[in-house]
Amino acid sequence: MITETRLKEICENYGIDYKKLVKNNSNILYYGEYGKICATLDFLRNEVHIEVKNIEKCPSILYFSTENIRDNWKFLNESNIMMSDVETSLHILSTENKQLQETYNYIMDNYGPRYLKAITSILRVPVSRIKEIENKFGNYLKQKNILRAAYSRHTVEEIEKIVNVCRENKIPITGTVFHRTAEEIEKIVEVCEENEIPVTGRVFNRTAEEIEKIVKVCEENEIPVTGSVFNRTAEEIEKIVEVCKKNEIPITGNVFLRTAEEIEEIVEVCKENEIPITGSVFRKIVEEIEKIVNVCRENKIPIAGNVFSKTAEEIEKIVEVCKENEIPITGSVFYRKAEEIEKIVEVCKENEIPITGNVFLKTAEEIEEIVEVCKENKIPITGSVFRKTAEEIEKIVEVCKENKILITGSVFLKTAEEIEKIVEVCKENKIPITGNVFLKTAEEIEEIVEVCKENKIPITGSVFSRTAEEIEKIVEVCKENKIPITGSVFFKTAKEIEKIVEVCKENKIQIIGSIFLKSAKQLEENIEYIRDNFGEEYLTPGVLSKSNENLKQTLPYLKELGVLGMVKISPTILTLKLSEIQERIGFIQKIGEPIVKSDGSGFNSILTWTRKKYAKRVKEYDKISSQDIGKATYMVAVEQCDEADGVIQGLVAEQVKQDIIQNRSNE
Amino acid sequence: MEININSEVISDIYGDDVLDVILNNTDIIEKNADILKKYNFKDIEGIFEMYPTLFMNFPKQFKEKIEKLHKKYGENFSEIIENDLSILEEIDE
Repeated sequence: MITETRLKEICENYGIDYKKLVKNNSNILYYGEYGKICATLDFLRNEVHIEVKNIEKCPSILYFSTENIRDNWKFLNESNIMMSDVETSLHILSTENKQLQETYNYIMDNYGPRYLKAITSILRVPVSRIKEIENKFGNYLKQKNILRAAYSRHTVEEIEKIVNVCRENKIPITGTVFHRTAEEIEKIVEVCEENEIPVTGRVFNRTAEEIEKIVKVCEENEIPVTGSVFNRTAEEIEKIVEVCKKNEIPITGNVFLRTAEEIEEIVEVCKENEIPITGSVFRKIVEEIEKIVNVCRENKIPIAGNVFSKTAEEIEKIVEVCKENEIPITGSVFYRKAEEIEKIVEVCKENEIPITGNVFLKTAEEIEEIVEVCKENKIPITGSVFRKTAEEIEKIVEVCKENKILITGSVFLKTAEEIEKIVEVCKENKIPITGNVFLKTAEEIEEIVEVCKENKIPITGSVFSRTAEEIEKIVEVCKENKIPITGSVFFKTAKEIEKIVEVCKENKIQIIGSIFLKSAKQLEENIEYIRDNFGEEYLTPGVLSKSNENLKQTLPYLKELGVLGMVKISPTILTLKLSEIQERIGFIQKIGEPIVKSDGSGFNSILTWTRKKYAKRVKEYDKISSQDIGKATYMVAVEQCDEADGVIQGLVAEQVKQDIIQNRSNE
Repeated sequence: MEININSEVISDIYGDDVLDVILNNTDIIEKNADILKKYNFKDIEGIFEMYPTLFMNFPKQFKEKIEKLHKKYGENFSEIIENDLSILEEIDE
């Protein structure tokens, strides 16, 4: 036994949180001895560098034999097991050493290292128990669930009852059912049915009573009762909700991976590092987030989303592989491990597939299967196909062929069944079945159709990039601001349109369709550039709708030529690249025409022609020119011959004359 | 009428974001291209490259705009416009 005072003293010396330790297992006060605890802590902290938080989670390690712990650690360190897995399952170190070794060898021989990694705690279970459960339930349970059953504290009889209850109620037998007795499972099923909660694995983290409380708290706070809420008790959920509301964090699934306290710490770290507080950050504890932030900063990786699905070490490995293979480090690479990325790169290179984001949604083997299916069906291997498995792609292709739907990227946003529903809705409403309809579900399409009909909006492509609600808002914004409802207004959300309208009003820019091709931010960027360099009179939609990069090349050139002013009247010239403008102006000058029309009404029409028309004109000109040159060359040659002939004749005449004079003198 | 979209040109002149919008709205573009075809325009793809924004109008509105030019410039209006595409600025709004 050890007194609270003495235990607190130890905790203070070793940097352990006394409250957490005792909360996790108060038996430490009954079974712990001062000397043994210190000896074990010396070993764990100083020799094997176990993190304090893992010791706090496993107080029982502190009242077992230090020698045994040391022997087990040595054995496992030399074996095929990751010590990070042992660290998070410290109680296995208190297993009798011989038994630990037997279990380790048995699992490695009969299950494989994957199971050891997934269920490291199985190492504290004797082989005899594992075998007993295998014999009894080998036909009903998958391997991992055999191990989970073995790891549970249930007798074999109780496990049998649990399996039977699950089978009677058609509950998939996952590991979590073994957290409960058969009786408890029956109560839980009843409560779930009353409250229309799917009976998934996580509900078994809680008792039936707890589930009822959780449901009540969720209803009071309008939180959907999804699996993740069952990670927490009802009281914890209430605290979490309070913290989320205080910090304006949406109460989504991932927040329930953390305690309210942890959430507050995470929020603070995110604010310090200017990280958007999205669901994904809650996958990690604060210390891990800080490591990840450091690694991302060192490697200039945006700190968002998927990076939090990996540890800092894993991120570093992935970055290394990406750099070696010249792959841009985008969010999707973090779906995969470094080794997997290397295999994927190899497969993509063999099949000449561009290594873009979506390929990392799949493993290398899956990619090969998909490539095969795409080649068989002559489907271009674009990014979107990797959203589906090879089997799903085949079903989709079949449905598209039956309904004569062009197989474009967007069909792969949906399953084959969804496509069939969409096709039905489109046919009922006489909507052409083109790419954008697959951005929506059949139900959403029906809603959109209704809203469009109410507002007399044609039901074509751009409306399907928005929800029905969004369309209504957009129509409202357009009406408020007297903007004609053209196709372009649906390119942006209602909020973005409001921003665009605001920017245009502030800068006195005419609000026409082409303005909505740009975001408010892009418009502001263009406005700033043009105003600073050329003046406000150039802030017209025809100019502003172009890319900032293109404007920065073409406008200075036109200014240099002294024709920039014409752009205000006729911006068509800006639909050409700089090189094209230069070429056409060169041509105009060659043929002796002015760059600007003589009446000043616009640019020479050559600068407004389509590329095809211009190329044809140049070709014709070159043909005529070469004909003329040919003719002229011939004429020159003929003239020169005549002239030469004359000269020669002259020369001859002179020579003859000289000869005559000479002869006469000789005579 | 199917339009071959010159992605590089659109991206250079208008930016990738506009290219994305265009690629997601090919149904409207193709309907409007059909309208121009009926009016005997020859290089419709070329016109689209110069005025993609015009093709983003709903077909009914697009037709009304083209008709406006038809009335103004007469029967040969397609030829007149193809000789000076800046005329389309009058309706690109």
